[in-house]
Amino acid sequence: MTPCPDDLSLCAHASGDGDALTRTHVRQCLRCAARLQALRADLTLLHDALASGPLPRRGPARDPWPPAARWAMPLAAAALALLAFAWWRAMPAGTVAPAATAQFADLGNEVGAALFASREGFSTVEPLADHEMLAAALNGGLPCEARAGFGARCDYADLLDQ
Amino acid sequence: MAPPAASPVADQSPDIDQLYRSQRARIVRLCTMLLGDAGEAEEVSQEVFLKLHRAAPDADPTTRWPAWLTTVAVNACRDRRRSRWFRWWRGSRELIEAEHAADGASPERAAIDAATRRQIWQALARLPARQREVFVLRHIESWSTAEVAAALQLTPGTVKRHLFRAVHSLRGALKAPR
Repeated sequence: MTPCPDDLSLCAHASGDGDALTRTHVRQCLRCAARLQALRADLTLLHDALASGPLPRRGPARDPWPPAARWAMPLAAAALALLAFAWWRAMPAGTVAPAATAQFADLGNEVGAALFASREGFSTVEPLADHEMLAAALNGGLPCEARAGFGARCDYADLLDQ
Repeated sequence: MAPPAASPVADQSPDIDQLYRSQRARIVRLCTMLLGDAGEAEEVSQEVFLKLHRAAPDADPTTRWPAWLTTVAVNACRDRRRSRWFRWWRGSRELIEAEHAADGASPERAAIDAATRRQIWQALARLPARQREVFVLRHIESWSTAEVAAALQLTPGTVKRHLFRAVHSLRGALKAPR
């Protein structure tokens, strides 16, 4: 009798790919016949479990964020902070303030002119050199209050008369 | 990959509706075995039948459509598995068994308890992709070794080795204490 086939040959035989030697041996060897029977029983069980019955689904995630997304937010925040710091360091001292002041003055002039325009048109009030008009308007007063020499009682008409 | 070669019993002209009705459940189950999730399998099977719809008008009239569907499903599942998102999604979720269907239990279903079934599905999901494909095509779809080798572009010897390793792992899972 030939030597007992290894598991690979027996598996091929159980799947219908066995060679003649294995086939002959299994018929003659009780031990190998039992091995083959056990293998076939397991294959039948595997087939029945997979080919019929309910299909599995995956449950809820253990971790709601994918690995990349988990690190993306902190990394983005750190990168933004780094960029802001680098920009602040690269800017020469004093370059921010004058530009901002000029913009603020322009804004003040435009807002003041719009707020205190006469019936005839815009900007009958001469724009103030600085942001006094805007500051006065925002404080709830009249523009003349922000000028030196005007009293607390001056009003819109006083300003138009000038 | 080209669809399987013609056979003497080939369909002459595919009736897509009829193919959908007769093959859909099989393709969904096949995709579930390859992907490990019925929801994903439903999506992939929709893609497979969409490809059938596109391919049918220009196809060789001797095409074996069930085998064609199987091959396309295997490739679609492989594409899905390769996506990074899928790998994360699959790795972060536990496999759970769906509720039993409303239909009556067949004898083989009744014979296999839920724990064993769950163990088998989990063991299948743990197999390397190639072993899983070979096992499913050879033992569940009952393809021959030569057909599996042609579809997966492997040699018959490689198919046998993959099959042996898959069977060995699955049997090991069956013998493991629950």
